[in-house]
Amino acid sequence: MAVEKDMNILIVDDYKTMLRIVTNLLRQLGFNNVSEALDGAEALTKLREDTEFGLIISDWNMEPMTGLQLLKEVRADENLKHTPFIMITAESKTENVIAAKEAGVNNYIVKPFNAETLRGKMSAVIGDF
Amino acid sequence: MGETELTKELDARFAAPRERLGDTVEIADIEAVMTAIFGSSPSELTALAERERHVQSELGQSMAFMRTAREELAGLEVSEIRRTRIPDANDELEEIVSATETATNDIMDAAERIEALVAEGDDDLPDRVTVQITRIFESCGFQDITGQRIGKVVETLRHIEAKIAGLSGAGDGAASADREPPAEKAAPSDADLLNGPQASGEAQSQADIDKLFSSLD
Repeated sequence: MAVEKDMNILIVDDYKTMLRIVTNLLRQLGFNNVSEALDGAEALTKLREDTEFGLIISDWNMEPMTGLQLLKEVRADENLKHTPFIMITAESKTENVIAAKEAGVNNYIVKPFNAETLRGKMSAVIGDF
Repeated sequence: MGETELTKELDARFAAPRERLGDTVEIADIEAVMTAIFGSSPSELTALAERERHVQSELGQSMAFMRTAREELAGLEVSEIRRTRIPDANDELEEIVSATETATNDIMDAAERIEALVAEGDDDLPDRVTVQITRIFESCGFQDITGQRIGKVVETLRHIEAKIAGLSGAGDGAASADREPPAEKAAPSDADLLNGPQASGEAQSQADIDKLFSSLD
């Protein structure tokens, strides 16, 4: 099944520069409906509003709510638990990958990354586009 | 002074007041008798005792200061700072210099390529320019990574600052209250997983992450 490029994507990062970079990369990939949040708590608020998101792309290291905490909250929420979740983070230790996987992350991108890696991981999670 | 000598000394000191006042002393004469016997009045003796208490108090405070200073010096963890924190901070700064240099070169390469493409004026110019613009976006990701590395260096400086501030406050009681407790090895928590970017020699590549991620299925 082809991915609908008008799907809503939520990106979460405490660095505004990174939000801008990912937004631009997504736009170049054909995804224009992108929302942004600066930490897990703000993301959770947006996720629980009316908009239905087809994908969450989140950083890990944020305050007050980290990406891992956001992931756990999403997976524990009956209405959100099936939302695809990709972690994009500078945390590259094995225990981080294991913790994210155990919490239910769908894929894991280590920073710095390029557009091709983002496309590949998105395809693996939501299907080819 | 032996017992006999002490007795003789006391007899000699008592002799004069006994001869002058007899064996019974009026309350009003006690101070004069004490002064005659001991060479000091009760008020002088009180002052001497007060001075002695003051000296004892000073000595006690000095000992407390030295004890606190010793604890503060131990709390400085000089070897830990020198062995781990400073080298780590140096490594982070070197990584920052390297990352900014790489990103700058990548961005300039892309800009020069766009300049050349425009001059060539090929039919597929828009697509080829878009590729170079993507490279610029990717390169700008350095700001996130270097920002996190700078955050780690700042944390090291704050750690050292807190230790030095604790030492300078030794003796006034503030240091002990402000001192951080020694690090304890606790069970891993979410906070233990927040380490920021690793040094390039230690960080796992995307290929390593992919392999690990697949193995966890």
